[in-house]
Amino acid sequence: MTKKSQNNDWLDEAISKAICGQQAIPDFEKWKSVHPSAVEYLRAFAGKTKNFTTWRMVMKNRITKLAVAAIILAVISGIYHFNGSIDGANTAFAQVVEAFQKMSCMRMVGTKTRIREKAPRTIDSWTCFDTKTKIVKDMDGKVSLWNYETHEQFEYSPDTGKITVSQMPEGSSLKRMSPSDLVDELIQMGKKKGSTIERKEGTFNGSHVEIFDLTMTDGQNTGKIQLRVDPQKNLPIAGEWQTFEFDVNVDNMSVRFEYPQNAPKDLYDVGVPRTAEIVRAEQPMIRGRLVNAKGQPVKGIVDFGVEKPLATNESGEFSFLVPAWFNDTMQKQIGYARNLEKTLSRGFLWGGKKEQAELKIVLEPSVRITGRVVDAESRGLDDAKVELWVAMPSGGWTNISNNPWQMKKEGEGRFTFEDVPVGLPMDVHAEKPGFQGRTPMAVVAGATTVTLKDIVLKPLPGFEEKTQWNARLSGRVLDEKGNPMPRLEVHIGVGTITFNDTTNSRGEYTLTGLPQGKKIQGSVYADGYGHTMFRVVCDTPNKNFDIQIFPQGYELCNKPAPGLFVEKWLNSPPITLEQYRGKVVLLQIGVYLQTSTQELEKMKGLLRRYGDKGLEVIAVHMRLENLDWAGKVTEEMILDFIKSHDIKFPFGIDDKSEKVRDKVSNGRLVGNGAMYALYNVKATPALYLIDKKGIVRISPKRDDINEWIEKLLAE
Amino acid sequence: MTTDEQDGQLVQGAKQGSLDCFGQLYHRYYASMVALAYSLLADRHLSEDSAQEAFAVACRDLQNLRCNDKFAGWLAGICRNVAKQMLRTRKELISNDHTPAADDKSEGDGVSETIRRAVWQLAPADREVIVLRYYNDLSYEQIAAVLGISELAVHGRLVRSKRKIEKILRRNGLMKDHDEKITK
Repeated sequence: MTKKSQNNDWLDEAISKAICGQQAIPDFEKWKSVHPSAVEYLRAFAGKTKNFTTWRMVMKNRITKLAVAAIILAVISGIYHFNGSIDGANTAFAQVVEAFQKMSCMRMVGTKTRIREKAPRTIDSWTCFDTKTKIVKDMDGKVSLWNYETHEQFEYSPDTGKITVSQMPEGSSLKRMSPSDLVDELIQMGKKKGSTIERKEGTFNGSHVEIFDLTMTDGQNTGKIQLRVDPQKNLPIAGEWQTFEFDVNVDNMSVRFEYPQNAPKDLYDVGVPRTAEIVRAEQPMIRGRLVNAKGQPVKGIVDFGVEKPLATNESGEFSFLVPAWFNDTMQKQIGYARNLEKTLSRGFLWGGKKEQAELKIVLEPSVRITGRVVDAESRGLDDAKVELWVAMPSGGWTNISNNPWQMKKEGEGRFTFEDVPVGLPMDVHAEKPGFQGRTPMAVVAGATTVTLKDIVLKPLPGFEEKTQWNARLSGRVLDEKGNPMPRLEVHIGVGTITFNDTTNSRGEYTLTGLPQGKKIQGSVYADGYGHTMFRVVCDTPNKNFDIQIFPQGYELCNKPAPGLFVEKWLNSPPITLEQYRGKVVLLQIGVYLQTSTQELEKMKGLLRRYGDKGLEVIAVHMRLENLDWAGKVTEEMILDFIKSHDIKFPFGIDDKSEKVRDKVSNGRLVGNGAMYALYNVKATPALYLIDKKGIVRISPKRDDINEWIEKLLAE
Repeated sequence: MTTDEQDGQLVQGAKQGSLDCFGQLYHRYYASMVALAYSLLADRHLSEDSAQEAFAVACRDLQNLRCNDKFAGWLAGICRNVAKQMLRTRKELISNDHTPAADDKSEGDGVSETIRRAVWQLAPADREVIVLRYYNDLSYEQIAAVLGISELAVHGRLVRSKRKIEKILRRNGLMKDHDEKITK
């Protein structure tokens, strides 16, 4: 046997040697020049065949996303809305709709420019109506495919080089399965907003087109849509969408539409390398059944609080595939189940483990909770907000999303919650500005009606009965250069009461109902800027307060890096920044295993991409002793993670912050660690790029990190 | 998506006048066509000419190709015809012997020369698969596409053809030689 195979090897080699030719290298350009008539012949068919594959058009304008369909249909809805008001437009549009509905696949290519974003985003997506798939190519190379027929989701990430397959939630569907679905949706939208439409003739890329101009406005925001339609094919070929806030142009989107005859069938058709490894996302399956107290099966509904509620089958059985996006390393979640008549129910805990789970849920009669909210003199208060809260296993409180109970107010501060599921630790919270009250926590069970003691509203800690809750705080949020920053949320929390507003295009915010004369604390978050905390006292009823925020790492930039303070290196000998001179270092501080796994994956991707060009990555985990806001982390867990995710870059645990007491002002010392304090982390995990000379250059944002790495590597 | 399906799309594009699509097909099958022609012509330059001519013919006749997915096999047919045509012309011009004149590999030793002769003694179909495999180192997938058979069939045909070559070599005393070398 061995001899034979050796023979074959020898023969292989010999034949190869004997007849191996010079590599035949195809030279199509040369072929074209030698065979002009063949080329001519082929070209003669361009446009002659009836079904021309794609229309490709080059659009010079800036373009953006927002579903082609949305644009088209916004226009269509405009026509419906102004039925008969524009001569000819109706017929014209009916033709467009008809032509459009014949298309099985639509590709949208374009760009979207936002006022706050430096670079425009590209848009590239395919919606295939007949195969019920949607493919979206992201700027950073991620490609996702959703198959709404098999309910599978494929996600390719260039960072990991893998295709992750996961199951989409049962019942999810391509909302806009055909343009006509969108019409309905947009008619509703159009009705709410005043819209006008105008039909014009014009040219596009040198050919004659019809242009439909649609304007919708609600006074503050204005949307302008321009759609160019090919009059011969009756199909939209390009669209532009502009959004204005007052008179400021905040969003621009421009797309062109293609109708490929051969729709992409899989990720490979849109450029994902065939070498990409295919992995199944870890999706634990939870199975179970509902029974009543006698053990008989009950048909009902189960809500895991993560996706839409599930319906059980006739025998009360259900199965729930935990969605891949749901981070199951997090703490336990609360769910509830009930029968169809809502008379029986039960709350339960689930999750926290990766293995499969088997749940037997015994339903009991739902509970009715009644009580009264009163002031210090036992007078009933009708203006208080009353909520039923559920205690989280981790110690916090939550409102169940799509909660199953109803609240009724019956005057004089009386309230009733109907259909409350048994088995959950619950608490009634009542509040009005400046005041709050609550009942002690109790697991609801064993009775069909629970009558609570009166809930007495008391002033919030640090506030008095006489505190005036009527101050108005307004101002602007400005960046480091003093430019207004739109679309940021300004948040103030006083006790359990929160105040939020989003800045408009001029960076302005307004919060009302704040306490007068008291110091209150708030925060603003922006990508790249992290969380900026501020303190303010509303000493007048109308307080003006501008908030200036600085990019993360702003005060460190262009200065030598403050060094590494690491208690323990988990997968490498101790390192210093000095040994990385001549390399570009990406320092990741404030890693928290429970929430940063994706960020760590991203680091791996960057290292794979730039590692051989001189990039080094160092990750530093927060100190472990104070971490429990999303679940405890132990050293073993990190080591496990390093091993299972094959992390090669140095990974350490932050040192005690006392070590850097002399280097930072005391106010910034935090329990999260020395580096956390020293590098002034404002959002976790924070990234810092250190150049070849050891100078901190920037804390890069998600959208410019590659650009910065390339820039520093080239220096 | 299989190679055939990809081809199908490219052919569709080419049928509609896309030179790019045709260019991709050209890149995909040029080497295979050269090898295929070589199995008949045993001359590199002539084989390259045949392959190029085959593409020109394909261009002209593309609209007649009914099943877009079968482009490779169809093209191979054209290429064989073109090569045979060339062979006829050449025969008329030069000689009757179409055994390779060891064209650009004249430095080949005795063994190589014998093997080349052995290969050209094979039946055309067997010779084709051998040349496709060894002339430009094509993959089974590529060969399968060109010959319009499965990869498994390619493997089978290759094994059988090699056995035949072995037999011829044995008759010429070459294998024996080699066997002895191994058993030493």
